Amino acid sequence: MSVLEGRGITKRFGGRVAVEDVSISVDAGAVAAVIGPNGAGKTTLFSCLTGASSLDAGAVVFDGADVTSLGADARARLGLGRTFQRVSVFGSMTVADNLLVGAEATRRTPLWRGLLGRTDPRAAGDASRVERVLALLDLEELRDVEARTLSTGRLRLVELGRALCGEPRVLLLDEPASGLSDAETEGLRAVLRAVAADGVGVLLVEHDVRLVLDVADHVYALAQGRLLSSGTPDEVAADPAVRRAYLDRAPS
Amino acid sequence: MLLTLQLALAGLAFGSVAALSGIGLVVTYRATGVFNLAHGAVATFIAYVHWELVARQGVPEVVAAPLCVLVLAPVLGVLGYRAVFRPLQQRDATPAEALVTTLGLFVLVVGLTTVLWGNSAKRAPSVFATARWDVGDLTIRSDTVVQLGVVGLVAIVLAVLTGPTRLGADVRAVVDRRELALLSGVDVDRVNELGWAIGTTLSAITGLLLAPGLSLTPYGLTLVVLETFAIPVLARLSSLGVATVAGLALGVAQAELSQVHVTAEPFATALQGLQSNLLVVALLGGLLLLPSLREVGDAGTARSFSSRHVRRTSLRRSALLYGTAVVLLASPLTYPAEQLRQAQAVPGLAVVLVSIVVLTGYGGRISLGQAGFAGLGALFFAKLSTGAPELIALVGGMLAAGAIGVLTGYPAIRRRGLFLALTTFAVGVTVSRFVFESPSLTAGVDVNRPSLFGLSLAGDHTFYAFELVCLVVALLVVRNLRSGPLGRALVAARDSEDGARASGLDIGRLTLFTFTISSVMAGLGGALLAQTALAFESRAFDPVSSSLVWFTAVVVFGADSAAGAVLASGLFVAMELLTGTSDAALLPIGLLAVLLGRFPGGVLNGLVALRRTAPAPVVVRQLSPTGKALVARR
Ligand SMILES: Nc1ncnc2c1ncn2[C@@H]1O[C@H](COP(=O)(O)OP(=O)(O)OP(=O)(O)O)[C@@H](O)[C@H]1O
Ligand SMILES: [Mg+2]
Repeated sequence: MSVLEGRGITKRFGGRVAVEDVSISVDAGAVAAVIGPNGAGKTTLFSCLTGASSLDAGAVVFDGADVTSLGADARARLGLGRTFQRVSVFGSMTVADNLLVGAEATRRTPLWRGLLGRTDPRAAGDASRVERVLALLDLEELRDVEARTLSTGRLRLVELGRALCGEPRVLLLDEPASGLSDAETEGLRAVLRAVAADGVGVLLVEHDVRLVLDVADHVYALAQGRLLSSGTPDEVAADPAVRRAYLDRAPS
Repeated sequence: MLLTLQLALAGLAFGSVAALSGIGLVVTYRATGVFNLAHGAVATFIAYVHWELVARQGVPEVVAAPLCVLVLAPVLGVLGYRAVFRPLQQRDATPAEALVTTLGLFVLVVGLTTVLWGNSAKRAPSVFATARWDVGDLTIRSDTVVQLGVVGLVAIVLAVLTGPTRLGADVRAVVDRRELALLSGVDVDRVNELGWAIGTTLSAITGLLLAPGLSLTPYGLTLVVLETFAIPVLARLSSLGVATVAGLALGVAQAELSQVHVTAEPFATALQGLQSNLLVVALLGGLLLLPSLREVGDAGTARSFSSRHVRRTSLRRSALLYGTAVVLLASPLTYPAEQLRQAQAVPGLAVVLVSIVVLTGYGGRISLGQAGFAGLGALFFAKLSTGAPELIALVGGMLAAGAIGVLTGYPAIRRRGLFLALTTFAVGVTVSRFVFESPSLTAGVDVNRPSLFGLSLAGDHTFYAFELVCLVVALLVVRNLRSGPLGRALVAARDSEDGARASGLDIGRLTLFTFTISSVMAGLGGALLAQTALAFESRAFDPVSSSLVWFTAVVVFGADSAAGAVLASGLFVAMELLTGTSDAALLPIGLLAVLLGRFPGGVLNGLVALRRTAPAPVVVRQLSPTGKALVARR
């Protein structure tokens, strides 16, 4: 059952089309992946799905409801978690506090409550959820370390942890393995499987082909903003159009 | 018809000077990436030097004016760049830091002017002898012609400089793509020095031409030049052509407005306000209506001058800190009334400064209009207290300030950095001009101290105790803004807006919230200040000598340090007591602000860091994505 769906998404920057008429669907409990050369429009597609940028055409459907007009924060509160290609953690906070924000921010609490120093009764489970996620991502030892001092690989995990703490229904990860060591990537693979097994739909953008072939149930290949091909990892890997798109690319 | 022409000529005279000032701001901004908030202060300083040379030392005008404009001004510009802005650039400071540094420069230069020449008004000499020619019925003044000529000359010089020369190409390269220019071997230093030199030269011309028409005081001329910010704003910080036209057009429009007459009442007052404040209205209108300014680089939030660390003070240390503070603040209660009265300004000012901490330190938003909120709180308190119990009036004043705070918060949701700084400044100036300085609103306003359930607080000791209670309440609010889910949400939004939004935080709501809290708090502080003085004085809530100076002081003492804000308030009052003038604190604060590049988290944090003997910070030149791509390609 699809939990997140993009229908005919189109996004232009000035005259330049970054994403054109792309339809995509993420099932609960499954891992989908978007692949494509640099500049293919993967991150832009993510921004459209999460609400970080507006669409020029198309619609985004979350859990059966049209969320196209909702902002990024409202979609996040509904259960749409994400990470960024350019990590955006809260640098001056500790790792544990970063995760705690992820848990707290999905609830909308009256701000005066905080002003008067009252606590939210719904906050009771936050601490234990943070602990669980810290354990899952093997970040327990870094709990009290200020985030800005960490390596990119660790920051990606912190960001993933923050998203997980919001108990997302669907998780969008933009290049989660870039900057990760081999061991960390191995850990990520296990985490992704565990998250999907929990019933969360996962959509990832990834250049690490091995990781994609290994964990994805469904692959979408983009090139120059258009959907080239989609299907199981093997089908897409065998598609001549995909091969051509990758071979056309000037060697970098 | 004749009158219209005559007025147009007068308007052109002022408009051309305004245009020159605007052009100077745009040139410096495009060439160096820094919007020079000290532009007006530099103009004033050089006008004073000119006065000193001509009126006091008897230097002939043919020597004095060129010396000021062509030697002193560019030298100051280049020195300022080398001493202050180049180190910032080398550290890769954010534009917000550079902006605050210009504010520090402003405070420093005004402070220097006051120390050297005092506060009393001077009569500035005219650079050019004024002749009049009668053409038919029309009188043409020679200074109009000269000023228009100077604008034309400047336009030609700038056209040549940015034209098809090697230097022009360099300037354009730096302006368009700073980091690319850095990599492709353009002499960025030279372009920067040129940008500053041109900017200060034009500000000197502005100062020398404007001063004779006004009486020369440190703040008066400065504010007039600050009003010309309308011109770079209308030019969206980029087009010199638009800046020239906007300057001339505003000058003419302002002059022609004096012909318009209305008698129907609300309009008559509004028109009167408009007639003397067209530039202010254009500044605010331009900022609110323009979708964006063409800012250089990413303006960022104010996070960069908050302290770099989340402080986790131990309970014992904070108990000690707050204990000392309470004892210090409460000690005046033991003084006789005479001395106590002098300490009464401390808690009120501290509340206002803490409100800046809320907005800038916690909310990450620059606010250059805080005195406007404070003044509204004071004025509405005073107005309401004629008909209602003082305590209710006090709440009313706070709410009035809060209402304007919310209105300012709306545009602030989408604005950052320079754009927001100018918007808040414009709001402050507008409130000051149209409310505080409007005789119909402020004449004969009585200010009384409140009474609490029948207990009068009019006595100096009881009133001071009441002020302390207010300060403690403000500090408790601040503590709650700093801790718990709300505190984390604010820090999160400050650290990474994208990340905060993706986690589910509503940035707009948080922004409005901080603006509301901050302005309500400022309103309280303002009302306390008015109750201290037992009068409403518009001068106490001036958009320049209060707003800008207060903001600078808060940043110097650590934008996210409430304790620093309280300390700053004590410093202001103590310096005034010691020296007898409220401008005494300007020099140290300006100096520290200019040095902020070396103490990024503010003075207190700088001292703490020194004591911790932290390893010297590694200077990493960060390149923007474009720059990185270019390096990678090489
Ligand atoms: N804010 C923007 N303004 C203008 N153009 C943009 C913007 N964001 C992206 N683009 C353009 O849209 C196209 C798609 O960019 P996008 O970042 O989505 O690609 P991507 O597939 O994520 O690439 P990469 O693998 O490098 O991350 C690119 O050509 C890019 O230059
Ligand atoms: Mg991308």
